[in-house]
Amino acid sequence: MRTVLVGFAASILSLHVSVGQIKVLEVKGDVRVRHDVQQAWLPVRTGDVLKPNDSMKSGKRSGTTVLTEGKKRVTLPENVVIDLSDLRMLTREELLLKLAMEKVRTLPQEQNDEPAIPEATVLHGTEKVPSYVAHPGDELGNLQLNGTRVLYNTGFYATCALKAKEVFRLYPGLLKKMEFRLMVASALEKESLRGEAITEYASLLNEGLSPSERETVQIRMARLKEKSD
Amino acid sequence: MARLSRIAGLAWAVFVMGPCITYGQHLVSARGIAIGGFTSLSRGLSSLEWNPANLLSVKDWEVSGSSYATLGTRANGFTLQSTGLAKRFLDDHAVALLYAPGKVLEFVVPRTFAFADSNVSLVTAFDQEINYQEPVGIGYAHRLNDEFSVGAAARLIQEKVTDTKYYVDTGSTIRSRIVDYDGTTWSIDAGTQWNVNPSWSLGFVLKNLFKISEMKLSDEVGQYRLALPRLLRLGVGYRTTEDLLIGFDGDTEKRFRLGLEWNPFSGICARSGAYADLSARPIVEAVALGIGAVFPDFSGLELDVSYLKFLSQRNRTGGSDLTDFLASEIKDVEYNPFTSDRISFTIKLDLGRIDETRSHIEYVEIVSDVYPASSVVYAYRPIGKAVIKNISDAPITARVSFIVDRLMDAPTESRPVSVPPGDRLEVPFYAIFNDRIKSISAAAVREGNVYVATQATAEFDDRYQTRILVRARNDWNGDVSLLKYFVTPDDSIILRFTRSVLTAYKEHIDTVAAPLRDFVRARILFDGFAKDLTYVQDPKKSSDFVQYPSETLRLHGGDCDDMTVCYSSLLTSIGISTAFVDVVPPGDQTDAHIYMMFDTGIEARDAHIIADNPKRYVVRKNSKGSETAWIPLETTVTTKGFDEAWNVGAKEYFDDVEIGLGLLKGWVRVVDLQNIF
Repeated sequence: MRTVLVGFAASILSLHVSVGQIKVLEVKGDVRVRHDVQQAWLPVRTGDVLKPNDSMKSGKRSGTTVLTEGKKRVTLPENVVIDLSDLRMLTREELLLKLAMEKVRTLPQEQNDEPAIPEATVLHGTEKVPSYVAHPGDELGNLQLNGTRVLYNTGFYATCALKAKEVFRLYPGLLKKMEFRLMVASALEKESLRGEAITEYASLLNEGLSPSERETVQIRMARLKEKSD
Repeated sequence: MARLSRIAGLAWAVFVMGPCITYGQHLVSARGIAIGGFTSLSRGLSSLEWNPANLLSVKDWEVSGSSYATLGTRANGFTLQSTGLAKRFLDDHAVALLYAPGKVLEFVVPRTFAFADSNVSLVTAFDQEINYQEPVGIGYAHRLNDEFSVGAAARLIQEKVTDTKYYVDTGSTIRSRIVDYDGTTWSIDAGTQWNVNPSWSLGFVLKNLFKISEMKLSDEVGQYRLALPRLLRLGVGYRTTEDLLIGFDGDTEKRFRLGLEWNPFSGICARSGAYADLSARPIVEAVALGIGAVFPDFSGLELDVSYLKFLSQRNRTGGSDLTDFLASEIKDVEYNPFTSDRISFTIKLDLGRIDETRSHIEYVEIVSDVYPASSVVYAYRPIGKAVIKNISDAPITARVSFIVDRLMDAPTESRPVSVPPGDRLEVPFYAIFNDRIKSISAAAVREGNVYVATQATAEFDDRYQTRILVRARNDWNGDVSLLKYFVTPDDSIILRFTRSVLTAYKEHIDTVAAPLRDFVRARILFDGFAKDLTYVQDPKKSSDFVQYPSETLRLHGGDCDDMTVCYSSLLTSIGISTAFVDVVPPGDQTDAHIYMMFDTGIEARDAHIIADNPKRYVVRKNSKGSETAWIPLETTVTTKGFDEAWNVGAKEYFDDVEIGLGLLKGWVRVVDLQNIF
């Protein structure tokens, strides 16, 4: 009986995660962590306690399961990079504000009536530098997009949509991955942001969608518009 | 003797009803005639008649004159009714003198003298002339306060009856002689004006309060004496809107007048009024119409025209029944049962100091202390606000100006603002400080003067002295958007420092790939800047103390804002954009902190060349509109070198902005320094 009680207590304790901490429950293969702003990826072991400002990366045929502070189990499949700060629910207001900030990025910079240095039409003495051409490819972006799929599948729709948009912004080449863009629109739909979801779907119609994808988009848009009416 | 007695006994006078009882009378002020209810609305010289308390509406000197033409009578042309002068002095006093040659009422009563005895029967006709005049009026008014004023007027009233006397001389011949009977009286009126509020005004006038008779009209013609009864008149004025004025008068003689003045265009007025007498039939005895024009740029020239029309013309066309004449008791030389329809003109000029006070400053609020470093912002952000009041009865256009002696070269002036009569308005004002303010080493209270002016020619209507606290040159109010004014990229010490450090690393910089050069330059400058610096807390003061970059370099130390400002100056001086990150943690504002970030110029897609971990940089739009990688740096760890400052800065930014959502929730602000000059 005593053994049972101790075992039960141990299992409870093992599940306990303090505020702001993520516990690694299971590790398979090559799974690594990068603490906050460090550069190095370090191996992860079962039982490690990570922080929200850490990132995790799983290699080929690898995976891990973590327990978030919200007591949610999240399983990372192979070839995924995920920021642990994304394993959280955002309020509707926070999500809307984040989306608004994304939109603001695309607008011209704010002008005020305070004194400013007049912009010169011709700038003399600027250094002539060739534009940088070397690209490492979109490997990290691909891994991060895989991470957004994990977020979607575990119900973190808000952070899924925001992270995917950020990845698309940093890696414009990945915008061709229609399944992820459909996922963003769907995540917004799941967050009941119908207007934003319709806008996302509508932007897809101008892209090279396959016939089945186009049909999916049209069906979803029609469904959303019906709900809006 | 018996014959004489018989002659005397038989002599009798016969009054004959005649068609030619003639008279002339007038009403002062075409404006007053048109509105009718004018007791509380009277202005200037015409107030002598209506309400002497309103003489205080005279601005300085006023000259005016009126003339009129009667309609439907045998009188031809215009008669000069009156002319006069009014003067305001010592602000609260006014006097007036009116000369009114046309303020006359005349009757010519045809009479007959009959003589009869046994031998002779003689009937002869003659005229009895009755003349009333009010040739002179004088008045005085005194303002008790902004709401109340009182006044008094004295009017000289002359009565004259010219009669023909018949007598039998010692030779029993019937002879005649002309006899004049004169009466002279000063009648005193008193008035009070109460300007209740900008909309309502009340006037109380006691007419004929006292009568001082210098010479009484003989009892022989006593029936012609003017009644001049004491009467109380109450007037109410109401300004419904900026454009519409309503006046109402009523007196103890049961006479009432109601009228309005409409101001459809600037300087043009249309007026109408109705006159009623409860003791007469019909009750409404007259209506009036009028127009007026004011030309403020021509000494306040004012021209008024009115038309007065009586609904019943009985006794008003230049002739009257004698019985009506005898039955009527004439109580007023101007307005009586014999007043005829008329057109009146008035011309008025304001002379002398026409820049009357039309506004005053109720109070002034200085919005903030003045911080010398950021003093330039007060040219664009209000340094204070003044609440001004329109104390005139017309809309004004006011300007507020502000000056601080020695710290400003000239007063700043606000945009002109319109203020309706009696209204208040809050007007922000600005300040343009000269360079002397940058040399203030300790906080000091300075005197500031706020002025309000309503006319281009006038210096000002009112002045308000206030005090402002001018902080020391190194003081900062904690507003991160103003911290940028401590950044001095064009300071020669800064320029010299950056050039000398970068020149020392020229060969190394030349080997670096072009996109990385700004990043490398920033690193070199940081390390060159850091090696001699020590983190030192601010002196204990009531406000934040910020060193200018040259001071930080000279003193080899400073706190977070000093180092942030200094390093930003260094980078800006070589053309690298920077931004401040201001963190004010919710719930603990005392733990506020500032660090900075700079633009590497590396496009977002290439940012991996400076860091594999995206948390080490921030993707932001730069001044050219392209998204580039910015590096957060914590300048308080300056002494540990660039990499450590970057590590700490990036971690802080990620924790504050991405984890804590500080930017989203407003407790983190990023302030670009693109607008420094």
